[in-house]
Amino acid sequence: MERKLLMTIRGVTKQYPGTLALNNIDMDVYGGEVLGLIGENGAGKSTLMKIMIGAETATSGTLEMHGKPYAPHTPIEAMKLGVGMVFQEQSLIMNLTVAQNIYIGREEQYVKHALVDTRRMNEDAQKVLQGLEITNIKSGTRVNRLDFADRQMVEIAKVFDSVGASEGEGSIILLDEPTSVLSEKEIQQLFRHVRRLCTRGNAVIFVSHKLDEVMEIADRICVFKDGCKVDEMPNENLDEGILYEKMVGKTASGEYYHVARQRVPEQDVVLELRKLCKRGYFADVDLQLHKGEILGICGVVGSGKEDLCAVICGDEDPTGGEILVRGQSQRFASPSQARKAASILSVPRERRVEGIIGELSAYENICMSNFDGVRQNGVISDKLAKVQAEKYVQELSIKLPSVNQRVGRLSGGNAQKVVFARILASGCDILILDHPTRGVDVGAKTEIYSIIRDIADQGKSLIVLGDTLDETIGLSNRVAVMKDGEITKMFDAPPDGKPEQVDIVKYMM
Amino acid sequence: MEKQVHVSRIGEEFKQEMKKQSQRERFISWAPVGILAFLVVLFSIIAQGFFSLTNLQNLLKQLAIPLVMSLGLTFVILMGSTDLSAQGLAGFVGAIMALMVVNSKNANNMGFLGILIAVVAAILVTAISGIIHIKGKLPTFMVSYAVSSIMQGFAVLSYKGEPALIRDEFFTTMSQGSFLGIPYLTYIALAMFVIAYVLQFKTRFGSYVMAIGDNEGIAKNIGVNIDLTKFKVFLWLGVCIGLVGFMGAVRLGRGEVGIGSNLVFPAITSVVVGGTSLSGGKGGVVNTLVGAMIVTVINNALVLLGVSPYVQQAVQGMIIIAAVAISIPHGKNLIVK
Amino acid sequence: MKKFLTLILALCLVLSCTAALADEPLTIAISMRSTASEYHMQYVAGAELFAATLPEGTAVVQALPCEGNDDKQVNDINALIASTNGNMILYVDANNSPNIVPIAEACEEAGVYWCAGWNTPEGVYPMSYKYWVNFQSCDAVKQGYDIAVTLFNALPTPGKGKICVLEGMLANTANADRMKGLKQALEEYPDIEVLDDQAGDWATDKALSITENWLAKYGEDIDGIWCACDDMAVGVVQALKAKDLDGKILTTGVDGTSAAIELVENGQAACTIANNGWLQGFYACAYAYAAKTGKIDTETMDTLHRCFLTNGYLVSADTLADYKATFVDSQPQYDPEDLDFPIAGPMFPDEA
Repeated sequence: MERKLLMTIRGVTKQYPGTLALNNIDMDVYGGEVLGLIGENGAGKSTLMKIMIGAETATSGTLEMHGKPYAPHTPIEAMKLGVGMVFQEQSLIMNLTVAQNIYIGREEQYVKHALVDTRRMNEDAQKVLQGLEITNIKSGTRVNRLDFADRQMVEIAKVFDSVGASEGEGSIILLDEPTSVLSEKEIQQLFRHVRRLCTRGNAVIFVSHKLDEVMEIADRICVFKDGCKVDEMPNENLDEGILYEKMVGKTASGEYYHVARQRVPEQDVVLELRKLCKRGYFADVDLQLHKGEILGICGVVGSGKEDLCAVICGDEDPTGGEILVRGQSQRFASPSQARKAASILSVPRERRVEGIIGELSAYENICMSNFDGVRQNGVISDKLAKVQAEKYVQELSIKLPSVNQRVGRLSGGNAQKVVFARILASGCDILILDHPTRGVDVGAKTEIYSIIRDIADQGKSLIVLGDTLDETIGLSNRVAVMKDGEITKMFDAPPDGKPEQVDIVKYMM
Repeated sequence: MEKQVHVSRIGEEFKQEMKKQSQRERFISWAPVGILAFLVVLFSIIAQGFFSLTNLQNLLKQLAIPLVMSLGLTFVILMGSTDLSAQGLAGFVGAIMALMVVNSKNANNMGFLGILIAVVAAILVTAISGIIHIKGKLPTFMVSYAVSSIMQGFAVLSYKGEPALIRDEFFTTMSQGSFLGIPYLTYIALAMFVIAYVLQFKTRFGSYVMAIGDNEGIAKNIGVNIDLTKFKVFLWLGVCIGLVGFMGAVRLGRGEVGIGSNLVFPAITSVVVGGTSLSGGKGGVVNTLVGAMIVTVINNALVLLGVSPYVQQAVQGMIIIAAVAISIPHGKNLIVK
Repeated sequence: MKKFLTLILALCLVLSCTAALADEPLTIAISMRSTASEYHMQYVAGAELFAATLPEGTAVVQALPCEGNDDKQVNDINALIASTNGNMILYVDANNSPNIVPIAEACEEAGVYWCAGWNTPEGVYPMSYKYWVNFQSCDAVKQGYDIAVTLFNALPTPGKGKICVLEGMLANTANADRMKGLKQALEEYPDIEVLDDQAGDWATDKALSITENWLAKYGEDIDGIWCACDDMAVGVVQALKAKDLDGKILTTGVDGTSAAIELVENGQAACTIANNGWLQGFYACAYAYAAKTGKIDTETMDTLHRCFLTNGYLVSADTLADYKATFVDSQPQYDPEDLDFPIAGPMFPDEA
């Protein structure tokens, strides 16, 4: 079959404040092909797709569709031009029926005397579903009555139909992690339909963490890493090993992570998980955290690592298993109880939303997790709080005009150091750090690594979910790899024998 | 590592969890009906005179105005907003309507034209407050409160202290009469319910309101004209408030500003007790019908039970909290504001 | 949009300023709850009657409705004192009793003679002030008693029967006093049985629903409904009409609104009591004006003239014709010189 060029992407760059999400991407999309996109979290795949459907605009670079300049401002505009996307977070309106969802925004054909001909719309929607071999869903059902997988199929049907309606010249459909909740049978159904669409001259772009699926369906695979497209190859005679190697990021020097300061943890186990479960999120997790140890956990989005941390710090309830803190079995009703009863403190990823209170001053933020330390005669003493804050500002070399400075005004690195000052002031000795260097520039990162080493030197234990795989390996004494809610492998990571990223990725995907 | 395309144990469990959750939601969505049935049975047993024809008529009469008010607010709340303008606006509509039909204060005799003018005035007012909200990006809560005060002022000005008594025979009989045992005003309310039902389920407008309430971002991406849809919601609210003002004046036999004063919060309560979420996108007009019935039945039965007026409001409040607690979902990490 | 709103706001400000600049006749101010109340508007009418006794163009009447807001009441009075340079007299029906104190202080400072009606805190009376001329009130206990007795005597079997009681707002002084009067009457009429007691919050629509519910429960067992105010009486009759029971089951009211007068006329209500706001407004102004012009001296006035009760007018089938002749078909006539006329009785009988 002759390949017809549908879309060309040239020199597309997307700059977010502080990060370069996409760096000078060139890519072509041909009619009749399935194009697989793979890469770690944050490699730039999602950003590229958002630009393609008009949800984001590129900082520079051009896109062309059918040889004409293509710059949609909204997803609906993109859809009219023949580009549609099935979102990972579904975009269905829960309280409307399947048919209403499929045709929402496109009801004109069913409207007569201002009323929608529901019956005809339902019939047509049923045909659309049948066309996708979906037989178990009635088009008149409300979406919130469907289970999650069925909703996913409706979402797919909706996009296929709306893009299909403008077919003709050839359309592009983007699938972002479409299989994560589908059963084997549904996945095969989906693949069949993807192929059928392609034989009609359309293109499908398939994004997934599941390498096996990408290799099964894709004709061509593009590999993304750190905002760059590192390779592009036809899906022939590939093996997963090659792909893994291309995906993993560069390895920084040991000095960057202060590996020389990595210490051997003590024998005492401060935190132990026994067969810990949360139904639907992770299962049978066994883990030991030693005094003074840094334990890294890695896994793709949906592997269960975030949920595991949420359970440990008391934010979510487990459905089975045990959490032992210093040998005592514990259950926490809330994060504040976990902090008081077990000295566990979690530092969330979204610093601006969850980690600091931007409207308050630095010293108020620092004493936030432990008011007892700055109490005098039962009331909180501003003076003590400021003295304490001054101490940490010096220790962590936070750049502040004064401790009265509002934290909202600080740079990412300094704000994160304020968070660490709060951690130190809390006096907790089991710390969970979720992406501790997110949104922090390179210089400040290495300072933060040094602070993390200091904390470990004080005999405190840390669980780290790194911003990159390299960071997790570089910092940790041991690295646990999670996939589909289970720990698939535990690596030792001594200073002189850090595991290779490629080896870890194999267990993640 | 062996190649495998499989669905993990966690995936299976996740699907089961979602299924359980949707079953739970389905159960909760029936809760208001259960509560209503329970209250009716309970009051029939313990309240003298509750289960009688006269009282059924009373209930139908007392339901009419709150129902129309709640139907107007339903779409506003489905969209995730609130509106307080009925407080003053309904009084205004009642006052000017009473002044335009045959009345005790002037020689007007406009009949139905008078009603039409009053209702159109209400629509104009909500349309203006809608535009201020949409274009000025001011919160509906504040805009409508301000509008309510303004209209209250105009209402008082219109009759200068002495409310007009309605003398038009057609309207005085309307407040009392019934057809097939059902009061006329209740027919108006039921007709409004049917119209609201069609609006929600049979028009694009209904779907779009739901989409906006569920997730305005998605609605925008789908291509819903958000400003226009919101504007239409305010028009509908205007129609309902206009009718409420008219019905209130007819029921009381005079156009006074107090018509709207005890209306707004009970109406919001009806909507919420019925299971419509204050954050929008969930529930609808059927829920509102059930909710309005629950609130009306409670008010009626507490008097029949001879509950001391000193504890009545407290009892009412407790029943409402209990009803809301049963009809909306809970969860450890559900953030409610 | 925003610009437009700002413009309107600016316009309102300019208008109110120009209004304030116009001079300079004596301002007669009436501060009360709301222009929506017919009774409160009678104060204003009374004040206008008084203004008409003065040479033309020398006095203007201004109403200051506070719409139920304490702060607004005090602020408006202060603003008016400032804009008239104290060339004013004032009658205040305080929104809530405690409001009297700041108002008294402001008037004392500015040298504004004023009178108050209905509400004052316990122990705060004109005798302690130079510029607060007098305080007048109605006897709410007597009102409650009078309407009860009139109702009882108008029942099918006079003095015997079953009644329902519709209170106003719980924890409101006027309501509590009227209830006290009702209880006195019930003691004197042992054959009257109270079926139920509900609170209608002074509101027509609530009264309507409560009455409907009573009718469902007691039906025609009810002989009469003692109702604490006119607005609620309108709702009660509205509910009775629906069952064709208006005129058969009588009700009562207090305030003397035109709607209630009509109910009495139609035989639907036994009676109402006109508080006679004209009288109260007229003589409050007359006293304050007399003090301002030096005709009377607050230093030498006795307690009776500084705190007294005024008479309401009980409008029943018997007195209806007289009431209408005096107050509806013509303006009531009062003599500004006869300052003893409004005094029905002492407020503190023990001291008299």
